[in-house]
Amino acid sequence: MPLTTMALLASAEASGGNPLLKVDPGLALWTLIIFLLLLFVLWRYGWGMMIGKLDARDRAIRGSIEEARAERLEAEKLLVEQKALLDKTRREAAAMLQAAQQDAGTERQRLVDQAREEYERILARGREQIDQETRAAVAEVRKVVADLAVGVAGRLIDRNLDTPGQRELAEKFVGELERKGGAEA
Amino acid sequence: MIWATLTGIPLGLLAAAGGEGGPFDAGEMILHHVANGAAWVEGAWWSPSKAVLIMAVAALLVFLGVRRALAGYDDNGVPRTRWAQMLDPFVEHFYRDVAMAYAGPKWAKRVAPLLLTFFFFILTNNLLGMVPWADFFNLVRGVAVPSGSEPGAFKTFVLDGAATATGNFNVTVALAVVTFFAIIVFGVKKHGLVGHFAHLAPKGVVWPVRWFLLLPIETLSMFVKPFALTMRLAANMTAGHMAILAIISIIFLLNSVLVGIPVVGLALGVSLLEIIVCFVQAYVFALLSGVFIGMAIESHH
Repeated sequence: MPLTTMALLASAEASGGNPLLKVDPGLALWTLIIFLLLLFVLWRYGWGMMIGKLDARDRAIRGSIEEARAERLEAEKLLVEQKALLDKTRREAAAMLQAAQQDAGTERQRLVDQAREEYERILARGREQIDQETRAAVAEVRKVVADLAVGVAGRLIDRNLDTPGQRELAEKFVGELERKGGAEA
Repeated sequence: MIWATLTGIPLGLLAAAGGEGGPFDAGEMILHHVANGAAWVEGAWWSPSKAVLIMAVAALLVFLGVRRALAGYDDNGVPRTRWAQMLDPFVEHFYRDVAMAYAGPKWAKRVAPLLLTFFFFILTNNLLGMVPWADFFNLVRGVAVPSGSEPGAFKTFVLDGAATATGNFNVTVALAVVTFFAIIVFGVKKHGLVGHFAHLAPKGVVWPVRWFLLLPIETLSMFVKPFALTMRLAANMTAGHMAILAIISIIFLLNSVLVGIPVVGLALGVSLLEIIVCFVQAYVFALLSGVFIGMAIESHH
């Protein structure tokens, strides 16, 4: 036992054994045993795991922050891409619209032209047909008129006249008619 | 009139409950309460006593408390149960704000367990000392064991009740010795045997100052640090109990129930203050141990 301890013991005994100053190496030893035992047990089965939990939480928080940052960057990138895509689409749509409008214009023009052409063609054909029919009708009329005239004249003059001389006259007359009608037509 | 009547009420029963026969002796009562109980094995220096029992109970409580807290964490290390959430800030504080701040991140994992064990072991002992079961058991003894008859050995240590183990300097010196050696062990681990003890005579000053001023001061400080830890804790824990007991003694000194009304209020106030002291002293012991160990690890920077 160290000298100081003995001195303290002696003084404690001299002061009537003041229990507050009682040196008790046994108590100190027990304290040491209990504390070191607790320290060892908790070191192995307590604090290590507890600190592990703290570190795990730390990692989880750090990971979440990193993840959030990465996700935000990704989102920003996506947003820019989307915006670019949207712009492009809008431009394309505008171009398409313009092209379609242009196409529609030309198509309409083409259809109108075609329709006009068709109309003119039909008109021309109609006119031609009318001409033809008119001509045929005129020829028919001329023939009928000539025959009629001959018939009428023959009946009127009867056999006073020889047929060839009469006919020449009649034809001359019809020729005049024709000339007259041709000028009219 | 009322005063005379009330002061006349004999408090003999309560005095007997204090375990002492004869006239009330405040000093004797206080010393009996703050001192460790008798050795269980008569005459043996190594004998356990009630302080040992209290410390064993405290150690068990700390272990169970830590295990219970550990069960309350989820996979991400987030405390989910109330118990885990209660202990978590203390653990985090000692790990990050003390061990990491003073000993550096590399050493924090090795220093923090020691500081945490200090804190929770001392705190539990301090708080167990606040539970007045000693007085409860003494009351039981005063009624159950007629004065003059000798209670058996089992009854002696059970009925003797509790005590504040950390109010006994034999206990605190053992804890401070742990700090003393922890400082050396961590210092030597970091800087080597020579490197650690070289800081007793720091370089960079003229040789007379170095060898005749700093060497004695540093050497002394090596022992003063744990000594201060010892005395601070023991004195603080004892003083509060003494204050409470002294205040309660007024009732018996004046032998009056009426006096008890303000006195109980006062004792309650001091008890509440003591609960704060329990936390503060446990924290101070652990924190200073951490600071001293950190100084030994970081001393050459």
